[in-house]
Amino acid sequence: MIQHVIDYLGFGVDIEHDFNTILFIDKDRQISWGEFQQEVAAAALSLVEKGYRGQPVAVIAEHSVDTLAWYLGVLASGNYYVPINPDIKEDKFEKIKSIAGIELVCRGGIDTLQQVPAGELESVFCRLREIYSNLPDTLPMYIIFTSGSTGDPKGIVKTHQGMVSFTDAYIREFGFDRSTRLGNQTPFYFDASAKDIFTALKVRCPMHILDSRLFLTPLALGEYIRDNQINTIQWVPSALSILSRLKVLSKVDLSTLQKVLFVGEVFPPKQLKIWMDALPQTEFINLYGSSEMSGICTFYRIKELTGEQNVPMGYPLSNSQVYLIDDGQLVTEPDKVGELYILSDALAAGYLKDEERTAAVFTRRPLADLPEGTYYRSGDLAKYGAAHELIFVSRRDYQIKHMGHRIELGEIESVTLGIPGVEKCCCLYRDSKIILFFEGSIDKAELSRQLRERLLPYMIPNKLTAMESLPLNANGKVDRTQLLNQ
Amino acid sequence: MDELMEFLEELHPDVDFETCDTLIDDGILDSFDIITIISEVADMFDVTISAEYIVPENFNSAQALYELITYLEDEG
Repeated sequence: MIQHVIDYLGFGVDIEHDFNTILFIDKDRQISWGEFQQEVAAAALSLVEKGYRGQPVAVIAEHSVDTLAWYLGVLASGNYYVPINPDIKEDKFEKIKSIAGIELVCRGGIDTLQQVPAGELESVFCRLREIYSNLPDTLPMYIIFTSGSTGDPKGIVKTHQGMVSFTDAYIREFGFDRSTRLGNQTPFYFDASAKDIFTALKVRCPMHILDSRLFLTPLALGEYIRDNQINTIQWVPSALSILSRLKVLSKVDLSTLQKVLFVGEVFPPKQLKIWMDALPQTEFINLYGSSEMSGICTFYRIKELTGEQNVPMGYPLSNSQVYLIDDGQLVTEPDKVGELYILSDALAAGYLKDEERTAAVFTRRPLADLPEGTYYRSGDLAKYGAAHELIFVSRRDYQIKHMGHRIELGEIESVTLGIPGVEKCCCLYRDSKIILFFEGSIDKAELSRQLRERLLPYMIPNKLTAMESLPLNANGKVDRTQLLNQ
Repeated sequence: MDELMEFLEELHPDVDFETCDTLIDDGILDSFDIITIISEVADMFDVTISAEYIVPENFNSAQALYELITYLEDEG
Protein backbone atom coordinates (compact mmCIF):
# COMPACT_ATOMS: atom_id res chain seq x y z
CA MET A 1 0.00 0.00 0.00
CA ILE A 2 1.54 3.26 -1.10
CA GLN A 3 1.06 6.23 1.17
CA HIS A 4 -0.31 9.38 -0.43
CA VAL A 5 1.75 12.49 0.42
CA ILE A 6 -1.38 14.29 1.70
CA ASP A 7 -1.91 11.48 4.27
CA TYR A 8 1.79 11.32 5.10
CA LEU A 9 1.80 15.02 5.99
CA GLY A 10 -1.35 14.78 8.13
CA PHE A 11 -3.62 17.11 6.15
CA GLY A 12 -7.16 17.11 7.50
CA VAL A 13 -6.31 14.69 10.29
CA ASP A 14 -3.88 16.55 12.44
CA ILE A 15 -5.85 19.79 12.27
CA GLU A 16 -5.84 21.41 15.70
CA HIS A 17 -2.38 20.43 16.78
CA ASP A 18 0.11 23.00 15.43
CA PHE A 19 -2.77 25.02 13.98
CA ASN A 20 -0.98 28.29 14.73
CA THR A 21 2.55 27.11 14.00
CA ILE A 22 4.07 29.32 11.30
CA LEU A 23 5.06 27.23 8.31
CA PHE A 24 5.87 29.46 5.32
CA ILE A 25 6.99 33.07 5.11
CA ASP A 26 7.29 34.80 1.74
CA LYS A 27 7.93 38.45 0.92
CA ASP A 28 4.26 39.36 1.27
CA ARG A 29 2.81 37.17 4.01
CA GLN A 30 3.23 34.30 6.42
CA ILE A 31 0.96 31.33 6.92
CA SER A 32 0.39 28.83 9.73
CA TRP A 33 -0.14 25.08 9.39
CA GLY A 34 -3.86 25.55 10.04
CA GLU A 35 -4.29 28.35 7.50
CA PHE A 36 -2.23 26.42 4.98
CA GLN A 37 -4.57 23.44 5.29
CA GLN A 38 -7.48 25.82 4.62
CA GLU A 39 -5.82 27.17 1.46
CA VAL A 40 -4.88 23.69 0.24
CA ALA A 41 -8.49 22.58 0.79
CA ALA A 42 -9.76 25.62 -1.14
CA ALA A 43 -7.38 24.94 -4.04
CA ALA A 44 -8.33 21.24 -4.09
CA LEU A 45 -12.08 21.96 -4.06
CA SER A 46 -11.73 24.41 -6.94
CA LEU A 47 -10.18 21.62 -9.04
CA VAL A 48 -12.74 19.02 -7.97
CA GLU A 49 -15.54 21.41 -8.95
CA LYS A 50 -14.00 21.85 -12.39
CA GLY A 51 -14.16 18.08 -12.77
CA TYR A 52 -10.41 17.42 -12.79
CA ARG A 53 -9.38 14.01 -11.50
CA GLY A 54 -6.25 11.96 -12.18
CA GLN A 55 -4.93 14.67 -14.48
CA PRO A 56 -1.81 16.84 -14.83
CA VAL A 57 -2.18 20.46 -13.68
CA ALA A 58 0.49 23.02 -14.57
CA VAL A 59 1.42 25.40 -11.77
CA ILE A 60 3.29 28.58 -12.69
CA ALA A 61 5.90 28.33 -9.94
CA GLU A 62 6.31 31.83 -8.59
CA HIS A 63 8.40 32.05 -5.43
CA SER A 64 5.37 32.36 -3.14
CA VAL A 65 3.13 30.59 -0.63
CA ASP A 66 0.40 30.46 -3.29
CA THR A 67 2.52 28.13 -5.43
CA LEU A 68 2.87 25.70 -2.52
CA ALA A 69 -0.89 25.83 -1.80
CA TRP A 70 -1.47 24.89 -5.46
CA TYR A 71 1.05 22.02 -5.36
CA LEU A 72 -0.59 20.45 -2.32
CA GLY A 73 -4.10 21.37 -3.48
CA VAL A 74 -3.49 19.59 -6.79
CA LEU A 75 -2.42 16.47 -4.86
CA ALA A 76 -5.38 16.63 -2.45
CA SER A 77 -7.79 16.78 -5.39
CA GLY A 78 -6.42 13.53 -6.82
CA ASN A 79 -4.37 15.16 -9.59
CA TYR A 80 -0.64 15.67 -10.12
CA TYR A 81 1.26 18.90 -10.67
CA VAL A 82 3.72 20.08 -13.28
CA PRO A 83 5.93 22.97 -12.04
CA ILE A 84 6.55 25.63 -14.69
CA ASN A 85 9.20 28.34 -14.64
CA PRO A 86 7.36 31.72 -14.78
CA ASP A 87 9.90 32.91 -17.39
CA ILE A 88 9.31 29.96 -19.72
CA LYS A 89 9.21 30.69 -23.46
CA GLU A 90 5.77 30.24 -24.95
CA ASP A 91 6.81 27.62 -27.52
CA LYS A 92 8.51 25.48 -24.89
CA PHE A 93 5.44 25.66 -22.64
CA GLU A 94 3.26 24.57 -25.56
CA LYS A 95 5.50 21.55 -26.09
CA ILE A 96 5.28 20.61 -22.41
CA LYS A 97 1.50 21.01 -22.43
CA SER A 98 1.19 18.72 -25.38
CA ILE A 99 3.61 16.06 -24.08
CA ALA A 100 1.96 15.96 -20.63
CA GLY A 101 -1.61 16.49 -21.84
CA ILE A 102 -2.10 19.61 -19.70
CA GLU A 103 -5.46 21.37 -19.94
CA LEU A 104 -5.38 23.50 -16.82
CA VAL A 105 -2.81 26.07 -15.69
CA CYS A 106 -2.88 27.55 -12.16
CA ARG A 107 -1.08 30.65 -11.01
CA GLY A 108 -1.40 32.51 -7.68
CA GLY A 109 -4.74 33.96 -6.70
CA ILE A 110 -5.47 31.56 -3.84
CA ASP A 111 -7.24 34.46 -2.06
CA THR A 112 -9.82 34.64 -4.85
CA LEU A 113 -11.02 31.06 -4.24
CA GLN A 114 -14.01 30.07 -2.12
CA GLN A 115 -12.60 29.86 1.41
CA VAL A 116 -12.83 26.79 3.61
CA PRO A 117 -13.55 27.60 7.30
CA ALA A 118 -11.31 25.86 9.85
CA GLY A 119 -14.35 24.04 11.27
CA GLU A 120 -14.97 22.31 7.94
CA LEU A 121 -11.42 21.08 7.34
CA GLU A 122 -12.08 17.61 8.67
CA SER A 123 -15.14 16.97 6.50
CA VAL A 124 -13.59 18.55 3.40
CA PHE A 125 -10.45 16.41 3.64
CA CYS A 126 -12.65 13.36 4.27
CA ARG A 127 -14.39 14.07 0.99
CA LEU A 128 -11.08 14.67 -0.82
CA ARG A 129 -9.64 11.44 0.60
CA GLU A 130 -12.55 9.54 -0.97
CA ILE A 131 -11.34 10.88 -4.30
CA TYR A 132 -7.55 10.56 -4.13
CA SER A 133 -7.40 7.24 -2.31
CA ASN A 134 -9.52 5.59 -4.99
CA LEU A 135 -7.20 6.51 -7.84
CA PRO A 136 -4.58 4.04 -9.08
CA ASP A 137 -1.31 3.82 -7.11
CA THR A 138 0.56 4.51 -10.32
CA LEU A 139 -0.72 8.09 -10.51
CA PRO A 140 2.35 10.39 -10.40
CA MET A 141 2.90 12.90 -7.62
CA TYR A 142 4.37 15.45 -10.04
CA ILE A 143 6.25 15.69 -13.29
CA ILE A 144 9.37 17.77 -13.58
CA PHE A 145 10.52 18.81 -17.04
CA THR A 146 14.18 19.22 -17.89
CA SER A 147 15.65 20.05 -21.25
CA GLY A 148 16.62 16.84 -22.99
CA SER A 149 19.74 16.55 -25.11
CA THR A 150 17.62 16.65 -28.27
CA GLY A 151 16.16 20.01 -27.26
CA ASP A 152 12.72 18.57 -26.57
CA PRO A 153 11.61 18.83 -22.95
CA LYS A 154 11.85 15.56 -21.04
CA GLY A 155 9.33 14.82 -18.28
CA ILE A 156 10.44 12.86 -15.23
CA VAL A 157 7.63 11.09 -13.38
CA LYS A 158 7.93 11.52 -9.60
CA THR A 159 6.10 9.26 -7.18
CA HIS A 160 4.36 9.61 -3.81
CA GLN A 161 6.32 6.61 -2.55
CA GLY A 162 9.61 8.25 -3.54
CA MET A 163 8.86 11.50 -1.73
CA VAL A 164 7.73 9.73 1.47
CA SER A 165 10.76 7.44 1.47
CA PHE A 166 13.20 10.29 0.87
CA THR A 167 11.65 12.78 3.31
CA ASP A 168 11.66 10.22 6.14
CA ALA A 169 15.27 9.20 5.56
CA TYR A 170 16.44 12.80 5.12
CA ILE A 171 14.81 14.12 8.28
CA ARG A 172 16.20 11.21 10.29
CA GLU A 173 19.73 11.60 8.95
CA PHE A 174 20.04 15.32 9.62
CA GLY A 175 17.83 15.55 12.69
CA PHE A 176 15.49 18.23 11.33
CA ASP A 177 12.74 19.08 13.81
CA ARG A 178 10.49 21.90 14.94
CA SER A 179 13.51 24.00 15.91
CA THR A 180 14.78 23.95 12.33
CA ARG A 181 14.43 27.28 10.52
CA LEU A 182 14.88 26.93 6.79
CA GLY A 183 15.95 29.63 4.34
CA ASN A 184 14.79 28.47 0.92
CA GLN A 185 16.69 29.74 -2.12
CA THR A 186 15.88 27.14 -4.77
CA PRO A 187 13.02 28.23 -7.05
CA PHE A 188 9.96 25.96 -6.85
CA TYR A 189 10.27 24.92 -10.50
CA PHE A 190 13.59 23.25 -9.59
CA ASP A 191 13.33 19.79 -8.21
CA ALA A 192 15.89 20.60 -5.50
CA SER A 193 13.28 22.77 -3.74
CA ALA A 194 11.37 19.62 -2.67
CA LYS A 195 13.98 19.11 0.08
CA ASP A 196 12.94 22.40 1.68
CA ILE A 197 9.19 22.15 1.06
CA PHE A 198 8.56 18.62 2.31
CA THR A 199 10.96 18.86 5.24
CA ALA A 200 9.11 21.98 6.44
CA LEU A 201 5.69 20.35 5.95
CA LYS A 202 6.65 17.11 7.68
CA VAL A 203 8.38 18.51 10.77
CA ARG A 204 6.23 21.70 10.74
CA CYS A 205 9.10 24.12 10.99
CA PRO A 206 9.21 27.61 9.49
CA MET A 207 10.57 27.98 5.96
CA HIS A 208 11.50 31.45 4.74
CA ILE A 209 10.89 31.68 1.00
CA LEU A 210 13.74 34.05 0.18
CA ASP A 211 12.83 36.67 -2.40
CA SER A 212 15.19 36.18 -5.36
CA ARG A 213 15.85 39.93 -5.29
CA LEU A 214 17.55 39.53 -1.92
CA PHE A 215 20.36 37.81 -3.82
CA LEU A 216 21.00 41.13 -5.60
CA THR A 217 21.62 42.84 -2.28
CA PRO A 218 23.97 40.45 -0.53
CA LEU A 219 24.30 42.48 2.65
CA ALA A 220 20.52 42.58 3.09
CA LEU A 221 20.44 38.83 2.40
CA GLY A 222 22.95 38.19 5.16
CA GLU A 223 21.04 40.44 7.56
CA TYR A 224 17.79 38.67 6.72
CA ILE A 225 19.31 35.31 7.62
CA ARG A 226 20.74 36.70 10.85
CA ASP A 227 17.64 38.65 11.91
CA ASN A 228 15.28 35.73 11.26
CA GLN A 229 17.64 33.30 12.95
CA ILE A 230 17.61 30.98 9.96
CA ASN A 231 19.68 27.95 10.97
CA THR A 232 19.55 25.70 7.90
CA ILE A 233 20.15 26.51 4.25
CA GLN A 234 20.29 24.10 1.32
CA TRP A 235 21.44 26.14 -1.65
CA VAL A 236 23.34 25.69 -4.87
CA PRO A 237 27.04 26.62 -4.54
CA SER A 238 26.58 29.55 -6.96
CA ALA A 239 24.13 31.15 -4.51
CA LEU A 240 26.36 30.45 -1.50
CA SER A 241 29.31 31.94 -3.40
CA ILE A 242 27.48 35.27 -3.64
CA LEU A 243 27.86 35.74 0.14
CA SER A 244 31.49 34.58 0.24
CA ARG A 245 32.70 36.40 -2.87
CA LEU A 246 31.16 39.71 -1.90
CA LYS A 247 32.68 39.45 1.58
CA VAL A 248 29.34 39.45 3.39
CA LEU A 249 30.53 36.68 5.71
CA SER A 250 33.10 38.98 7.28
CA LYS A 251 30.54 41.77 7.76
CA VAL A 252 27.45 39.96 9.02
CA ASP A 253 27.58 37.39 11.79
CA LEU A 254 25.87 34.31 10.36
CA SER A 255 26.73 32.02 13.24
CA THR A 256 23.01 31.25 13.65
CA LEU A 257 23.55 28.88 10.72
CA GLN A 258 23.92 25.35 12.08
CA LYS A 259 23.78 23.49 8.79
CA VAL A 260 24.79 24.55 5.30
CA LEU A 261 23.91 21.90 2.73
CA PHE A 262 24.77 22.25 -0.92
CA VAL A 263 23.81 20.36 -4.00
CA GLY A 264 23.83 20.46 -7.78
CA GLU A 265 27.39 21.35 -8.69
CA VAL A 266 30.95 21.42 -7.38
CA PHE A 267 31.53 24.09 -4.72
CA PRO A 268 34.64 26.07 -5.76
CA PRO A 269 37.10 25.09 -2.97
CA LYS A 270 38.20 28.67 -2.40
CA GLN A 271 34.62 29.84 -1.74
CA LEU A 272 33.86 26.85 0.48
CA LYS A 273 36.99 27.64 2.49
CA ILE A 274 35.81 31.22 3.08
CA TRP A 275 32.52 29.82 4.41
CA MET A 276 34.18 27.24 6.63
CA ASP A 277 36.71 29.69 8.03
CA ALA A 278 33.97 32.23 8.79
CA LEU A 279 31.68 29.68 10.47
CA PRO A 280 33.80 27.14 12.34
CA GLN A 281 30.85 25.81 14.37
CA THR A 282 28.61 25.22 11.35
CA GLU A 283 28.17 21.82 9.75
CA PHE A 284 28.83 21.78 5.98
CA ILE A 285 27.29 18.93 4.04
CA ASN A 286 27.74 18.05 0.38
CA LEU A 287 24.70 16.37 -1.17
CA TYR A 288 24.45 14.30 -4.31
CA GLY A 289 21.24 13.41 -6.06
CA SER A 290 19.63 13.15 -9.43
CA SER A 291 16.43 14.40 -11.01
CA GLU A 292 15.55 10.75 -11.64
CA MET A 293 14.78 10.28 -7.94
CA SER A 294 13.20 12.17 -5.06
CA GLY A 295 15.74 14.19 -3.12
CA ILE A 296 19.29 12.99 -2.81
CA CYS A 297 21.02 9.64 -2.36
CA THR A 298 24.46 10.36 -0.91
CA PHE A 299 25.85 12.96 1.47
CA TYR A 300 29.16 13.92 3.04
CA ARG A 301 29.69 15.82 6.26
CA ILE A 302 32.83 17.83 5.65
CA LYS A 303 35.34 17.61 8.46
CA GLU A 304 38.17 19.53 6.94
CA LEU A 305 39.16 20.77 3.54
CA THR A 306 41.95 18.80 1.99
CA GLY A 307 42.79 21.51 -0.49
CA GLU A 308 43.19 20.09 -3.91
CA GLN A 309 40.51 17.44 -4.07
CA ASN A 310 36.82 17.89 -4.69
CA VAL A 311 34.60 17.36 -1.65
CA PRO A 312 33.49 13.69 -1.67
CA MET A 313 29.90 12.62 -2.44
CA GLY A 314 30.22 10.54 0.70
CA TYR A 315 27.90 7.77 1.79
CA PRO A 316 24.38 6.61 0.88
CA LEU A 317 21.29 7.97 2.60
CA SER A 318 19.50 5.19 4.51
CA ASN A 319 16.79 4.68 1.85
CA SER A 320 19.30 4.15 -0.94
CA GLN A 321 22.08 1.80 -1.95
CA VAL A 322 24.70 2.76 -4.49
CA TYR A 323 27.05 0.56 -6.50
CA LEU A 324 29.97 1.28 -8.80
CA ILE A 325 30.19 -0.92 -11.86
CA ASP A 326 32.92 -0.98 -14.46
CA ASP A 327 32.98 -3.29 -17.42
CA GLY A 328 30.43 -5.71 -15.90
CA GLN A 329 32.33 -5.91 -12.60
CA LEU A 330 31.43 -4.51 -9.19
CA VAL A 331 34.05 -1.99 -8.05
CA THR A 332 34.89 -2.22 -4.34
CA GLU A 333 38.55 -1.25 -4.07
CA PRO A 334 39.65 2.39 -3.68
CA ASP A 335 40.64 4.60 -6.61
CA LYS A 336 39.10 2.47 -9.34
CA VAL A 337 36.50 4.35 -11.39
CA GLY A 338 33.04 2.90 -12.08
CA GLU A 339 29.62 4.09 -13.14
CA LEU A 340 27.24 4.84 -10.29
CA TYR A 341 24.03 2.76 -10.07
CA ILE A 342 21.34 3.69 -7.55
CA LEU A 343 18.90 1.27 -5.92
CA SER A 344 16.28 3.18 -3.92
CA ASP A 345 12.59 3.40 -3.01
CA ALA A 346 12.86 7.02 -4.05
CA LEU A 347 13.55 6.40 -7.75
CA ALA A 348 11.29 8.12 -10.27
CA ALA A 349 8.88 5.96 -12.25
CA GLY A 350 10.64 6.89 -15.50
CA TYR A 351 10.35 9.39 -18.35
CA LEU A 352 6.89 10.44 -19.39
CA LYS A 353 5.70 8.64 -22.53
CA ASP A 354 9.23 7.54 -23.41
CA GLU A 355 9.61 3.84 -22.73
CA GLU A 356 12.76 3.52 -24.72
CA ARG A 357 14.64 6.17 -22.78
CA THR A 358 13.20 4.85 -19.50
CA ALA A 359 14.34 1.30 -20.25
CA ALA A 360 17.82 2.57 -21.13
CA VAL A 361 18.53 3.95 -17.65
CA PHE A 362 16.03 2.30 -15.27
CA THR A 363 17.25 -1.27 -15.39
CA ARG A 364 16.78 -4.56 -13.56
CA ARG A 365 19.74 -5.44 -11.35
CA PRO A 366 22.80 -5.00 -13.53
CA LEU A 367 24.80 -7.85 -11.91
CA ALA A 368 23.52 -11.22 -10.73
CA ASP A 369 24.89 -10.97 -7.18
CA LEU A 370 23.26 -7.60 -6.41
CA PRO A 371 19.87 -7.29 -4.62
CA GLU A 372 16.67 -7.49 -6.71
CA GLY A 373 15.04 -4.25 -7.76
CA THR A 374 15.04 -1.40 -10.23
CA TYR A 375 18.33 0.44 -10.54
CA TYR A 376 18.96 3.88 -11.96
CA ARG A 377 22.04 4.05 -14.14
CA SER A 378 23.23 7.57 -13.34
CA GLY A 379 25.75 8.26 -16.08
CA ASP A 380 28.06 9.62 -13.37
CA LEU A 381 31.50 8.14 -12.83
CA ALA A 382 32.82 7.86 -9.29
CA LYS A 383 35.41 6.06 -7.20
CA TYR A 384 35.95 5.12 -3.54
CA GLY A 385 38.42 6.95 -1.32
CA ALA A 386 40.43 5.48 1.52
CA ALA A 387 37.49 5.60 3.98
CA HIS A 388 35.17 4.00 1.42
CA GLU A 389 33.62 7.41 0.76
CA LEU A 390 32.39 7.97 -2.78
CA ILE A 391 34.21 10.59 -4.82
CA PHE A 392 32.67 12.06 -7.93
CA VAL A 393 34.92 11.82 -10.99
CA SER A 394 32.87 13.13 -13.93
CA ARG A 395 29.87 12.58 -16.14
CA ARG A 396 30.25 9.52 -18.31
CA ASP A 397 29.65 11.81 -21.28
CA TYR A 398 32.71 13.84 -20.29
CA GLN A 399 34.94 10.85 -20.62
CA ILE A 400 36.95 11.23 -23.79
CA LYS A 401 39.54 9.33 -25.78
CA HIS A 402 42.44 11.63 -26.55
CA MET A 403 45.61 10.44 -28.25
CA GLY A 404 44.74 6.90 -27.25
CA HIS A 405 44.17 7.71 -23.56
CA ARG A 406 40.88 7.57 -21.65
CA ILE A 407 40.57 10.94 -19.94
CA GLU A 408 37.99 12.34 -17.54
CA LEU A 409 37.44 16.02 -18.30
CA GLY A 410 36.13 16.32 -14.74
CA GLU A 411 39.50 15.26 -13.39
CA ILE A 412 41.22 18.08 -15.28
CA GLU A 413 38.61 20.49 -13.91
CA SER A 414 39.10 19.28 -10.37
CA VAL A 415 42.89 19.65 -10.58
CA THR A 416 42.50 23.12 -12.12
CA LEU A 417 40.18 24.24 -9.32
CA GLY A 418 42.87 23.29 -6.80
CA ILE A 419 45.29 25.86 -8.27
CA PRO A 420 45.40 29.17 -6.36
CA GLY A 421 43.94 32.03 -8.41
CA VAL A 422 41.42 29.89 -10.28
CA GLU A 423 37.81 30.69 -9.38
CA LYS A 424 35.90 28.52 -11.83
CA CYS A 425 36.70 26.42 -14.83
CA CYS A 426 35.19 24.21 -17.46
CA CYS A 427 36.95 21.68 -19.65
CA LEU A 428 35.62 20.66 -23.06
CA TYR A 429 36.70 18.44 -25.90
CA ARG A 430 36.33 19.79 -29.42
CA ASP A 431 38.01 18.93 -32.72
CA SER A 432 40.41 16.54 -30.97
CA LYS A 433 41.55 19.29 -28.62
CA ILE A 434 41.15 19.66 -24.85
CA ILE A 435 40.04 23.21 -24.18
CA LEU A 436 40.06 24.69 -20.71
CA PHE A 437 38.00 27.81 -19.96
CA PHE A 438 38.85 29.48 -16.68
CA GLU A 439 37.94 32.46 -14.53
CA GLY A 440 40.13 33.98 -11.83
CA SER A 441 43.12 36.20 -11.10
CA ILE A 442 45.72 33.77 -12.48
CA ASP A 443 47.19 34.46 -15.93
CA LYS A 444 47.47 31.95 -18.74
CA ALA A 445 51.23 31.47 -18.48
CA GLU A 446 51.15 30.75 -14.76
CA LEU A 447 48.16 28.43 -15.11
CA SER A 448 49.91 26.56 -17.88
CA ARG A 449 52.99 26.11 -15.65
CA GLN A 450 50.87 24.88 -12.76
CA LEU A 451 48.97 22.42 -14.93
CA ARG A 452 52.20 20.97 -16.25
CA GLU A 453 53.29 20.27 -12.70
CA ARG A 454 50.06 18.55 -11.75
CA LEU A 455 48.76 16.69 -14.79
CA LEU A 456 50.03 13.76 -16.82
CA PRO A 457 51.35 15.04 -20.16
CA TYR A 458 48.47 13.64 -22.23
CA MET A 459 45.93 15.36 -19.98
CA ILE A 460 47.32 18.86 -20.36
CA PRO A 461 44.81 21.08 -22.16
CA ASN A 462 45.74 22.08 -25.70
CA LYS A 463 44.19 25.48 -25.31
CA LEU A 464 43.56 27.79 -22.35
CA THR A 465 40.91 30.48 -22.58
CA ALA A 466 40.61 33.13 -19.87
CA MET A 467 37.11 34.49 -19.31
CA GLU A 468 35.72 37.35 -17.25
CA SER A 469 33.01 34.97 -16.17
CA LEU A 470 31.91 31.59 -17.40
CA PRO A 471 28.42 31.57 -18.91
CA LEU A 472 25.83 29.98 -16.62
CA ASN A 473 22.63 28.22 -17.58
CA ALA A 474 19.25 28.75 -15.91
CA ASN A 475 20.22 26.36 -13.11
CA GLY A 476 23.29 28.41 -12.23
CA LYS A 477 25.62 25.74 -13.58
CA VAL A 478 28.33 26.42 -16.16
CA ASP A 479 26.67 26.35 -19.59
CA ARG A 480 28.80 23.78 -21.42
CA THR A 481 26.72 23.95 -24.59
CA GLN A 482 27.29 27.68 -24.95
CA LEU A 483 31.04 27.21 -24.43
CA LEU A 484 31.13 24.36 -26.96
CA ASN A 485 29.60 26.66 -29.54
CA GLN A 486 32.06 29.48 -28.96
CA MET B 1 32.23 56.00 -18.63
CA ASP B 2 32.78 54.80 -22.23
CA GLU B 3 34.70 51.82 -21.03
CA LEU B 4 31.96 50.91 -18.56
CA MET B 5 29.24 51.29 -21.22
CA GLU B 6 31.14 49.09 -23.61
CA PHE B 7 31.45 46.36 -21.00
CA LEU B 8 27.78 46.56 -19.98
CA GLU B 9 26.61 46.42 -23.60
CA GLU B 10 28.71 43.34 -24.12
CA LEU B 11 27.16 41.76 -21.01
CA HIS B 12 23.58 42.47 -22.13
CA PRO B 13 23.50 43.47 -25.80
CA ASP B 14 19.69 43.60 -25.67
CA VAL B 15 19.55 46.44 -23.13
CA ASP B 16 19.80 50.18 -23.77
CA PHE B 17 22.09 51.23 -20.94
CA GLU B 18 21.90 54.91 -21.98
CA THR B 19 18.28 55.18 -20.92
CA CYS B 20 17.38 52.21 -18.74
CA ASP B 21 17.10 53.12 -15.05
CA THR B 22 15.32 49.98 -13.81
CA LEU B 23 18.07 47.41 -14.29
CA ILE B 24 17.41 45.91 -10.87
CA ASP B 25 13.75 46.84 -10.39
CA ASP B 26 12.80 45.11 -13.64
CA GLY B 27 15.00 42.10 -13.03
CA ILE B 28 17.26 42.80 -16.04
CA LEU B 29 20.42 42.18 -14.04
CA ASP B 30 20.58 39.02 -11.94
CA SER B 31 22.88 38.15 -9.07
CA PHE B 32 25.41 36.53 -11.40
CA ASP B 33 25.56 39.74 -13.46
CA ILE B 34 26.25 41.71 -10.29
CA ILE B 35 29.22 39.49 -9.46
CA THR B 36 30.54 39.89 -13.00
CA ILE B 37 30.16 43.67 -12.85
CA ILE B 38 31.91 43.90 -9.50
CA SER B 39 34.91 41.87 -10.60
CA GLU B 40 35.11 43.77 -13.90
CA VAL B 41 34.92 47.15 -12.17
CA ALA B 42 37.68 46.03 -9.83
CA ASP B 43 39.94 45.37 -12.84
CA MET B 44 38.91 48.40 -14.89
CA PHE B 45 38.94 51.11 -12.24
CA ASP B 46 40.89 49.51 -9.42
CA VAL B 47 37.87 50.04 -7.21
CA THR B 48 36.36 47.54 -4.79
CA ILE B 49 32.58 47.70 -4.50
CA SER B 50 31.99 46.21 -1.11
CA ALA B 51 28.74 44.60 -0.01
CA GLU B 52 27.19 47.67 1.63
CA TYR B 53 27.16 49.46 -1.75
CA ILE B 54 25.40 46.58 -3.53
CA VAL B 55 21.90 48.02 -3.33
CA PRO B 56 19.36 48.66 -6.12
CA GLU B 57 19.96 52.45 -6.19
CA ASN B 58 23.55 51.91 -7.25
CA PHE B 59 22.83 49.35 -9.95
CA ASN B 60 19.55 50.50 -11.49
CA SER B 61 21.32 52.48 -14.23
CA ALA B 62 24.73 52.72 -15.85
CA GLN B 63 24.87 56.37 -14.70
CA ALA B 64 24.27 55.42 -11.05
CA LEU B 65 26.91 52.73 -11.26
CA TYR B 66 29.37 55.19 -12.76
CA GLU B 67 28.66 57.72 -10.01
CA LEU B 68 29.29 55.03 -7.40
CA ILE B 69 32.62 54.18 -9.01
CA THR B 70 33.64 57.85 -9.09
CA TYR B 71 32.64 58.26 -5.44
CA LEU B 72 34.63 55.18 -4.42
CA GLU B 73 37.65 56.35 -6.43
CA ASP B 74 37.61 59.66 -4.56
CA GLU B 75 37.22 57.86 -1.25
CA GLY B 76 40.11 55.53 -1.95
